[in-house]
Amino acid sequence: MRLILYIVRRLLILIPTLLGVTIITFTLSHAFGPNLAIAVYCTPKLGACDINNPFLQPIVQQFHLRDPIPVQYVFYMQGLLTGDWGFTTSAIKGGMPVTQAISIFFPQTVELAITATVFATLVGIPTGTVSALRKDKLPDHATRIFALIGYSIPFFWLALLLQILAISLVPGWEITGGYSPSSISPSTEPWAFVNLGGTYQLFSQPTHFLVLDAALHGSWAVFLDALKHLVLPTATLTIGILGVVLRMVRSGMVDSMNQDYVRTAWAKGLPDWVVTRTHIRRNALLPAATVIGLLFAGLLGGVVLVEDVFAWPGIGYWATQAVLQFDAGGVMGTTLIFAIFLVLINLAADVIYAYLDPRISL
Amino acid sequence: MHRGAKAWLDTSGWRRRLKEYALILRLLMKSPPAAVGLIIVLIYLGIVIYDQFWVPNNDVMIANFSATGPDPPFWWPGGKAAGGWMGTTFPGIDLADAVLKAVRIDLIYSTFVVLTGALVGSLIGVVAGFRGGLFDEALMRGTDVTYSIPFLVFAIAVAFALQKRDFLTINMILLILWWPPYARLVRAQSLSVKELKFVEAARAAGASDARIMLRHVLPNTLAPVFVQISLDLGVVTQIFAALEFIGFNAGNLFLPELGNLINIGWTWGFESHPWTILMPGIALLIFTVSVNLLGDGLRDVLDPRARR
Amino acid sequence: MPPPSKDRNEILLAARGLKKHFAVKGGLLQRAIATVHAVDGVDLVIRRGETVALVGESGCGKTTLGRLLLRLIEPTEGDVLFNVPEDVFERMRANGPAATQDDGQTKELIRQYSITRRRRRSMKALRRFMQPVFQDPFTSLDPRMLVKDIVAEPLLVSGLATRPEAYEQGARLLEEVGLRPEHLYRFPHEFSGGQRQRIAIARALAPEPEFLLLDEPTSALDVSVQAQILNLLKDIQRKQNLTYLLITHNLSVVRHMADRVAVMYLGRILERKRTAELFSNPLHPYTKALLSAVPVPDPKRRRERIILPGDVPSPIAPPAGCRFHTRCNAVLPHCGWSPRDIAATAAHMFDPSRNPDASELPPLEEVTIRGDEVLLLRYREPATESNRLGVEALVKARAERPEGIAFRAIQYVRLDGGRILLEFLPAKEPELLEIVPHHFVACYLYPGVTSATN
Repeated sequence: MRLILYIVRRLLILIPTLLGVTIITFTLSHAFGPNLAIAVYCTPKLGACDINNPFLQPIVQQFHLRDPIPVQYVFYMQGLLTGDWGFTTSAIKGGMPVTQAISIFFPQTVELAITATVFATLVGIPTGTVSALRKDKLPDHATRIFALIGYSIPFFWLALLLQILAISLVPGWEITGGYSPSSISPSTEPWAFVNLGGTYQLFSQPTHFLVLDAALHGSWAVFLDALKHLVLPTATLTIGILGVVLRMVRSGMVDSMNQDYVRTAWAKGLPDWVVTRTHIRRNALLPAATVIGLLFAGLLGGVVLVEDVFAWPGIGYWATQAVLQFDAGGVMGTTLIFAIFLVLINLAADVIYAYLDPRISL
Repeated sequence: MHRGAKAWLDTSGWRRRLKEYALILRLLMKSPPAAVGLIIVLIYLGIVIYDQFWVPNNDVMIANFSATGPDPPFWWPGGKAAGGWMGTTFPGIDLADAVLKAVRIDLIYSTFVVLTGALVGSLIGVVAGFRGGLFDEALMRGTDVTYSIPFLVFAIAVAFALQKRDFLTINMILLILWWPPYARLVRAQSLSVKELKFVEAARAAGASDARIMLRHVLPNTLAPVFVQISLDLGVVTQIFAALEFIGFNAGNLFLPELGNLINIGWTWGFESHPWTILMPGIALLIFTVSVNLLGDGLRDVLDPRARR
Repeated sequence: MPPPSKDRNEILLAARGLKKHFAVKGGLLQRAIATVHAVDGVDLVIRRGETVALVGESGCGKTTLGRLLLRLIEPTEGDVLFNVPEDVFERMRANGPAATQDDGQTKELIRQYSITRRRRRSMKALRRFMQPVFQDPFTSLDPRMLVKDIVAEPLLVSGLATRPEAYEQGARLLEEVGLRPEHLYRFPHEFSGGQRQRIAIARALAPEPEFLLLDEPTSALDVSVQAQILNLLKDIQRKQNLTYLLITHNLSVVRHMADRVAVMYLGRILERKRTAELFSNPLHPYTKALLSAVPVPDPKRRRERIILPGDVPSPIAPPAGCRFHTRCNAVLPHCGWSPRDIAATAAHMFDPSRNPDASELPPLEEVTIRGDEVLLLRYREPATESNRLGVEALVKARAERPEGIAFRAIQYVRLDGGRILLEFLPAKEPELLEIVPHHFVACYLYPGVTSATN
């Protein structure tokens, strides 16, 4: 009951935050004058890039550009709430509604983010535990150096480095190790062609999660190809966040190993693994839950770069393309969806933390 | 007391403070990782100073369009003397020269961004934490908003609004966006510092709020700020490089900047010339590793729990 | 406004009906859901040159009262008066303690002498006359400042001295508190607790104050150092004719230092008296209990230890009437018993299923408290006159037992629309009155004590 009340309070706090985000995205697209919204359609042939240009009247009317700024914001909010997030020209040739583009691109980003988080946690928690238990011994030093490099290394450079390694070590690895438009192109249609060594195969995309689609497709070759595409981007992101996870687990473990209740547990003769699991690690991992939010913020930033390097058609790749191609709808859509995603992740982390830690008064 | 004695009194105050800083430095040098970090950071600083005063044309890369192609460094398998220490990249740019120039540009601008952000953020944070009320609430909600957008995405969106994608724009974006973490950090610290009794003693002495904030509260919140500055130098340098890398190099393609150099190597096919991305990347990696080492060391030394 | 430094009036500092309430925030929107009555109507007089000790258990509001007196926090109600001539003060007192009853002339006088009604700027000019010394010398000195800057700060901010003068003064002050001038160039963390407290005293003395607030100045120090600091404070007081308010819970310190003592409990002052008389003849039961805990340096004399039952009640809902009545060993029926003191017992006692003596009553459904004087019992069937008589008999039987003192405060047992209504004596707070000359007690044990008017 108290937990529900807490969640309600947190959701109430979310409202001003998300409102703030929309104000920012709106300001970025509207406050610098009407030119931005119509700049996309301006070509020298049409004449001046100006609100009075007769050729641009449909745009002026669609975006209510003649109304005062607050009125424009109301229309903007109305659009957001009714599912009209505008039109993106950069996502796909010919353009599509932003909401539709999100439904295509978002699953691919989530796929990367979740796979990387799962791997980083699966590797990070045991390794961090060993590192803390063998403090100042060889495994600890090795882990700490790895963690240091992991959180110091720039994502985009790591992505390139892994490509170089893959090319020189794995025979037959192509430079487009990623999932590039030439191999599987995102499409408004629920299907696409997949390129398997020069032969194309029709490939259905009901969910837009690459691996899931490949499995549903039922072809072993397509599934392997999809996995192969996923390896390097996931590895890049995993190594990048593994550094943070390792540090967190290790320092949390070392802190709780020095607590009196742990000393008591040793003193009363509990077996090592019981002390480690129930007394040290459980308490060490609690604070980790709060860092999950931060981890995801970094991860989503990294996703942009990784998707760029691997031409992985997710939200990050789309965001970059939108900026490079002056696509207002794309920039606003990607910013908003990233913000909503991050805010919900943070909320989930806080709620889990509050649920797990009996000391938190809700 | 006569005049001479007074002058002596004042310098001895400063000498005492210097001794305190020297002590911090000595403690720092006791931990090998922190010492390594500090030394590398100092070497980078030396590069910056050297480039600033003794290298001509330190803000542009020297291209040689008649060069046949990128040469590997002389120590590379199959390398030639023409490649120099770090090889060359497209079009005929000597990487050793370009990377050193890039280190200067990256470090100067990231330091500028981080210090400005720390200054502005600390001042806003101490006022919010000390005064509380509506200003504090507005700050917290406002920074909540900036925290809810991944930084790189936010930077991309601002760049879009500014309709420019050059190095200057990156600087402007970072200046706009880099104070909130410091404001939150200093605010949180101020909340606990302002409850300490010396603040009450200062108020009893008749000190104004401004004086209490600047002389008493702010200095006592700065230890974590210094740690954060050290760690952020690496982060901001990485962001500069990342933004240049994804296409914010539009203003000046020959700007010596590490991300720009990596971008050049990437665009022109790095698979056959790996050194074109390895060299600038390693320069970037060593710097971020060393500021992280330094930051961790500073945290251990400045942590009040570790202090006598 | 009279410049306070020129005419040195008899009463240096006085609290008049001083209250400080803190809001407790909570709930969905962090609204105020309760109020802590930290200081709840205090009258206190501190005369020039004397040491007044303020004693009480921790959490009774002593420190809050000290902060109010220096206007480090703003009072919710009431005034702190500074530098008042005796005759003027008498006139204010003659009009009673509550501000609502003041006539225009008294109001004008209060406005003239009150420091809590001053603007911030004119308050700043007064600050130098009253300085604090806090309990914990580890947080009361700014760790980032050199000792010279700590000691010079009060002089510099009040504009009493230029920078070189202030440092010179600082060196002199350090010698006065038993440190050496070269200690000016050190940081606080280089000193021991006792030395730090000396620095804090030097800082407090810097602007040549007339009043020092000593908030538990020795309780954070080693026992071996405590006496040194107390003697230092006594020396300084004698030399500079200072006035002290000593806040402490250590009664040995009180005996050593204070001229007069005020005993505080849950935000109110219960007793005020000269130190020697208080120790030889305490009047309030709470004071008696406190003093019984002081060790007597005579092995032959044995004193009865009075152990107070229970805990200090919460200052969020202080007991009605005399605040001490819930723990008092000499309590009377009219000390302020209220329905909430017996509600739990009543639910048991008047329920036939739990108490065999109540077997002729119908099953008890609900016990309701209305205000500070009325308790309502609702039974499954509407109560009859015979039920009422049954309840009355139970109350009477209980009241005759020694632990049933609260039931003696029940005035009537009445029928109230099918329910049974128990009405208590009105709960009034005893007023702090002069029982013996110069001996003020707030307790109904002593004849002539009427209830406080607020």
